[in-house]
Amino acid sequence: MNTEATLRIMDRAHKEMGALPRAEQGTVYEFMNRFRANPRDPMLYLQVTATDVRTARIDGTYRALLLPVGPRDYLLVAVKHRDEVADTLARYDFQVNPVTGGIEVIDVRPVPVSTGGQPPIFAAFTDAQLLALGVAEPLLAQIRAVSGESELLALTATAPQLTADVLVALADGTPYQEVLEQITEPVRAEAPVDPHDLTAAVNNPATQVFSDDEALQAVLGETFEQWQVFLHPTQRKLAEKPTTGPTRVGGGPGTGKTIVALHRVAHLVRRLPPGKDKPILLTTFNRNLAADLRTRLIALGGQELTARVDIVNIDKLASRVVSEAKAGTGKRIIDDNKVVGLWQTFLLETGEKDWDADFLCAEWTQIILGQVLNSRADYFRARRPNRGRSLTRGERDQVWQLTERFVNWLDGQGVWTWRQVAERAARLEMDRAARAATAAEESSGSLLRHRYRHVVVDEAQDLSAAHWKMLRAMVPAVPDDMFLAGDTHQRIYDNHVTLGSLGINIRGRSSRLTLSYRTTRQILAAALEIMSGEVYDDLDGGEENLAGYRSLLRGERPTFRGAATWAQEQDLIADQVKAWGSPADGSIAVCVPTRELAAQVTVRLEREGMAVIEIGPDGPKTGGGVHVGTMHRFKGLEYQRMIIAGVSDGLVPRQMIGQFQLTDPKRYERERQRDRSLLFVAATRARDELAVFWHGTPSSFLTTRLTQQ
Amino acid sequence: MVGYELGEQGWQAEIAWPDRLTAIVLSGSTGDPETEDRDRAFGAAGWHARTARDWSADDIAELIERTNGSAHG
Repeated sequence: MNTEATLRIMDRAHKEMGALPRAEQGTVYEFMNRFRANPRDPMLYLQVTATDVRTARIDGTYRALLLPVGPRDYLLVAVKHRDEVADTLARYDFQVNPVTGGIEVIDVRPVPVSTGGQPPIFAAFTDAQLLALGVAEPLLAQIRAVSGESELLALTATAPQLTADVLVALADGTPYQEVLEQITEPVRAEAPVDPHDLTAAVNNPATQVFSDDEALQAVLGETFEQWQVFLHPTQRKLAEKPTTGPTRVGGGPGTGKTIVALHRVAHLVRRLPPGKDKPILLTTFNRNLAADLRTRLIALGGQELTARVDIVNIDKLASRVVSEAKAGTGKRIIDDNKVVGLWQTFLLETGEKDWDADFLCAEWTQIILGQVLNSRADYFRARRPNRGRSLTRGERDQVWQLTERFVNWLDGQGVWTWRQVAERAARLEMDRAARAATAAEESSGSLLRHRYRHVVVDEAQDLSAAHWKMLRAMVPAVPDDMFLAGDTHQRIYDNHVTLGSLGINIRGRSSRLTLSYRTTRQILAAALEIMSGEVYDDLDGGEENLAGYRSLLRGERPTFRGAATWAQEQDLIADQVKAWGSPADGSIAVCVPTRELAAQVTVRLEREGMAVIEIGPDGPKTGGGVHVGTMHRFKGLEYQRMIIAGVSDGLVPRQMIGQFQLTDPKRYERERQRDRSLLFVAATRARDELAVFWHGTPSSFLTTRLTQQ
Repeated sequence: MVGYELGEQGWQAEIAWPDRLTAIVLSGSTGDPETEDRDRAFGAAGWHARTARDWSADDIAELIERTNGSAHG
């Protein structure tokens, strides 16, 4: 007779396992194997308690608490010291949440009674209102008693995820309707929920469980982190939902966009027919981020899964396509930031005075190369969103002729730009897609196909228009074709695109994550203050905001301090690093606006006898020491403690953009927004503590509310 | 005016009379969201924008006349 049983592990039991000594973790793992083989094994001492819960013996010290969810189907809900079992059984309640349909384990221990005499926080809401938001009913009495922030956080630390999310948002003053729309609706079960059907509930994605042995083994690996197995229900829905076309996930820093993208990739791989090919592309902005994605995908899904995925940064992908086609052989690729200078030289040499080099350079890269316009007629038909200045047909004709001459002029020097490489790659892929379509119509049995079946993009806000054209052509327009993760608030390169004008229609398939897992409420509040008053786009010509962006973590208020001179500000930096105990383990970073300042900070800290590691284009060279770098280098990184220095007027935003204020107001706005985003990205790299310094007048991005606290 | 661009998003008209908010636009493929968005944008800005096929010569003449008339009357 078959004695085997299914055992799945709930996220909170997994957390408890993670807190055990390593030797004990191994014992739990052995216990699970034994239990799966035969739950009736007498060595396990499986016992039925007064509630539905069963207990079983892990070893001399620890007990497992198990909830039966079907015949031979169990859920591990807790791992407890044997002395705590009775107390735990008395205190824990289980329910199927009527909103999400997921199983919730609820700790109903009484909240310490407030002595402050403040009114209860949630007095304004009825029980029915709270329950409609998905709050766990057994906790209502405790929720009613909460009157201070520390009580609230004590409660939310052990409450089910949705309950915690809802309560924190309401306590922050988020209107009821917004909480309903932004927090509850995204995790609502698609089918009606039967609160008594535990079997259905355990298979509902809202129940955070895993059963995979590989994942279990990985739990025991030291580098393995919680995020790699468990997604927030909102995240899981996004990662696993079938889509009808290109889909975008937005959200502030630390909300897990990259994690969702990685889980999306793993989800897509698991649905592939077996094979040796790589039908999935996972791409991002630079090499450093691509390497990081590879490491994390291996940690999440293993080598075999990762082998089906092509992981490459976008420019390398473009140059690979171009060199496969033997295009551009012998030409040298020049940096995009040198292109304006080349336009200036070209205009000077040709004596052309009617047009400005900045304008022509942007028109050429963003519109002509960006939209892969092959002919003058194509250019005449092209839409030019966000270009500031409009052009008549006659003016377009002049611009077209100038760019043609400029391209020939570059060609004569044996050079081309990264944007040209991207455009050429896009054109090659578009030709290939067209030929594939013809071949499919003639059903000629041709093997010619699109390069990929699925494309997943991280840091989507920094890709340029030509990149998007290339990616669009690389994958057929079918369900689940493109999945984009990115946040325009973190855009630090000047690539404003309107996806609709590039053939990528994300309308109605765009969603936003709002819960930050990285940084504290206090740091988020400061970062949001930095962003106040700015309007950001949604990659498709509309607007996007950070409404509902929040955190459940709590920490110190960030420090904001000014010095009279740069020399004195460097003293502030050195003192702050010392005050944090000068750890040389790579947990502290100093971020400044320019390379010169970074070099000076390095010298200053080295004089204090500290080991300093500069962050290069490929990230920090080694893990240890105090990391120092410019703001651009901090994309994608995170630190326990951060100092952002040199946040002075004239440095942030850069002084040089002032010249555009009158000549090109649109450009001025864009450049200023980009500098603001840099500061926002830097501030949100900090997990626990943040210090912001300046000398002279503080940056205009630091409001008086920040500088005078 | 040949080659008019409307607003920040640069929605294009082939020929436009900006002072009369009248324009001829290109016909796009049916169901193209770009075309729909363009028509909506012109509409929202108070324009009469149609494709050349949808305008007759009489239409245009009449529209211009009427817009003119109301502007002066």
